[in-house]
Amino acid sequence: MPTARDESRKRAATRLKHDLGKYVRFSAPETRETEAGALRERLGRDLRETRKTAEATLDAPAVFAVWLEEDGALFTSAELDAITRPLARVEELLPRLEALELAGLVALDDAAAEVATACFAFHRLVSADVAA
Amino acid sequence: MKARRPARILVLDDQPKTADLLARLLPDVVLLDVDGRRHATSWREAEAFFAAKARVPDVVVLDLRFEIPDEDLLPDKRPLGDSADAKRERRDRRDRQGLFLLERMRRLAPDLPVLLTTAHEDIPFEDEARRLNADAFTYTADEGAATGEGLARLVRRVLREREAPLTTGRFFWGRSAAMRDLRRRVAALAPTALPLLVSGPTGTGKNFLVKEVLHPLSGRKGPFVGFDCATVPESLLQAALFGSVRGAYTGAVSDRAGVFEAAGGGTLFIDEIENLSLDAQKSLLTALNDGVVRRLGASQEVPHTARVVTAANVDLREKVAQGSFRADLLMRLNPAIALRMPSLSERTEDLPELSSDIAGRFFRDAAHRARIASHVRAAGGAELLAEDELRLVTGDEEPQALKDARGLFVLPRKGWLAMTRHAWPGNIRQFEMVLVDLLSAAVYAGDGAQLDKEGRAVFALEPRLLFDLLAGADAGKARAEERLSLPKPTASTVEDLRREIEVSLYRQAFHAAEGDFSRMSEILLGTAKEERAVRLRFNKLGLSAREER
Repeated sequence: MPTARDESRKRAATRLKHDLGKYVRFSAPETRETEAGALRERLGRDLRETRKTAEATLDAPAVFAVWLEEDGALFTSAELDAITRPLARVEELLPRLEALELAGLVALDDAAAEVATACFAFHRLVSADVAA
Repeated sequence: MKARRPARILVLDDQPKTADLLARLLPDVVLLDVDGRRHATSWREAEAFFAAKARVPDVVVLDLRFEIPDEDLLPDKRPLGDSADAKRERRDRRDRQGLFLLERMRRLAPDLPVLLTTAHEDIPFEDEARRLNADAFTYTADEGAATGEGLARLVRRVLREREAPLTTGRFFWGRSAAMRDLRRRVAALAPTALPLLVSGPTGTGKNFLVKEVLHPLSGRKGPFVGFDCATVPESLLQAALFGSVRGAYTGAVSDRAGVFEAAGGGTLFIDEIENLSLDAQKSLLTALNDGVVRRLGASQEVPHTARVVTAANVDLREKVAQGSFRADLLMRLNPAIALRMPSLSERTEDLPELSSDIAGRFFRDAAHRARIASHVRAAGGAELLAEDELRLVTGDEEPQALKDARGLFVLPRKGWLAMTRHAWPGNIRQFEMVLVDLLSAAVYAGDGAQLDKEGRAVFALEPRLLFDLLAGADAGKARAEERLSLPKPTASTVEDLRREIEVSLYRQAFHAAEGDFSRMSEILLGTAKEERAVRLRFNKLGLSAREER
C-alpha cells in the first residue's frame, strides 16, 4: 500500500513535470531552428519566462528553486541528479543568451531538452514506486 | 456563399504561455479576450463565456494546475488560512483545479470540446477526465513530443472534427462528446485487422456503424456480410457460420459455405454474439486464433480471410461470470478497445441534428414528397419542385435559416421539449419511429397545409399524437419503475437501515431492468450515464449479478 509520503512524492514529481518539464521546451518546434536569432528568441521565451506568478516572472532555474523549497525535502539529491546536472548548464549559459553563438545556443537547447527528459523520467520513476 | 466565422478558442490557464503559443501557431483562430488578456485564469473570468449561447467558444483549452488565490479556487472559493492542513488543501485544489473547472463547464456546456492539457498519466485521473468528457491530452512519456506543437495539432484536429459530416451513409454521428470520442476510435481501429467488439444498448446503430463506417474504412476489398445470431436456431448456428458438407445433418443435401467463407477478404459482422452456443463459441475462437474454419461434417480445415466484428446488447463480462460465455473468446474480441455506442440519453445535444437528418430522409422519399406536393397545391401554393427545401421546425432554428424553405413541418415547442426530455430506452431506432409516425400523420392523416405570409406551406405536427407515442414508448419503463417499493425494515441501527433500503432498491431495479445496468441507472437515477457508478455500487453492496438472476 502506498504511504502518505509516497503519494506526496508522486504529487511533487507531477508538479515538477508540469511546471518545469512541460514549460521548459513548450515552444520548441519539431525540428530545431537553424537560424540563431529564432533559436535565441525561443530559448528566451521558454527558459527566461518559464512561469509567471502574481509576483514575478520565473526563469527555469528559479522554477526549480521554488519547487525545491516546497517539495525538495521529499527526495535525495541523488534522485534529482539527472535534473540538476543539465539545469546547472542552463544556469551557466542562460545569463549569456544574447552573446551566445549558434553552437552555444544549441548547447543550451540540448541542456533544456535534457532537463525536460529528466523531469519526465523522474515522474515516471516516482509513480512506478507508488504503483509498486 | 456565407463566409464561415473563424473558430473561437477559450484558453483557461493561469499561465499565458499556452495562449501565446496558440496565437503564434494558429493565426487563423480567435483567442477570446479576457480583460485584455488572451486567457482566463479562473472560473470567475470564464463563466460569462458559457452564460449566453452566442458567446460559447468552439473549443476550450484547459490546464490542470492553477496557482491562483484561494478566493478563485474551486470548488468553493473559500479562504483557506495558513495551517498545515490548509496548505495541503490549497495544494490539492491547485493541482486538480482543471477538473473542478471542467465539472463547472460541463453543467453549462455538456458537449463542448475541451482539451485538458496535463502532465498526469494516472489511471484515476484519466477516468475522471473521461467521466467529464474531456478530449484529454496527456503530455506523452516521449519527451520529444512534449512541446506545445502537439497541443496546436490537437486543437486543429478538434476544429476539423467540427467540419466532419454528420452522417456516413445511414449512420448518424452527431457532434456530442461521446460520438467525437467514438469517431476517433473508429478512425484508429477501422484499418487494422483486429477483431472488434461493438457494445451498446439496442437501437443505437451498431449495425450501421459496422456496415457503413467500419467496413468501408477498413480498405478491404471483400464483401460485408452481416449475421445475426438471434435469428438462427441454435442447432443451425454452426452450419450457418462455418458451412457444412453434404450429409452433415438431416437436410444437408449439398456442400454449403458459411458466412465466414462468404465474407472472405471482407468484413463479417456477427450481431448479438451473446446468443452463440458454447460449441459455436469454441469454433469461433479457433477461427479467430488460427485463421481457419471447418465446415460441419468436414475433416479438413480451410483458411479464412474475413475480418470479424461482433456486437452484443448485453455485458459479456457478466455472461462470462454466469458461465454462458467463454472468457477466452471475450479476451480475443479485445474488450479493452471495444467501441461503445452511447445511448441516446447520453447525447441529447445531438437531437436537433438527428431530427433534421431523419426528417430530411422522410422528405426525400418520393411517395411522401408526392403527397406533400398535393397538399401544397391544394393550399394554393406553387408547384413543389424536386430541389425545394422542406424543413422540420422545432423552435430552435434561426428565422433566417428557414427563409429559403418551401414547406415547414412545425412541432409545437412543448412537443419538442417533451422529446428532448424523454429517456428513449429504444434509442435512435425508437426516436426515428416516433418522429416518422408524427410526420406521416401530418402528411397522410392531417389537415393538410396552410400558406403563411411568405407563401410557405405550413404543416402542423400534432402534439397530442406525440404525447400518445411517447406514453407508449414509456409504458415499459413506467411498469418497471412502479415495481420499486420500500421494504419493511428489519434493521436496528440507522446505518443498517440505510444499507437495507439501498440493497432492496438496487435488487428491485436489477430485476426490473432485467440485469441491464444502463436501464438500472435510468430507473434509479433517471439517466443511463451513471451506469458505471451504479454497477460499482451494486458490487460494493455485496450484490452479485449471477446470484440475482
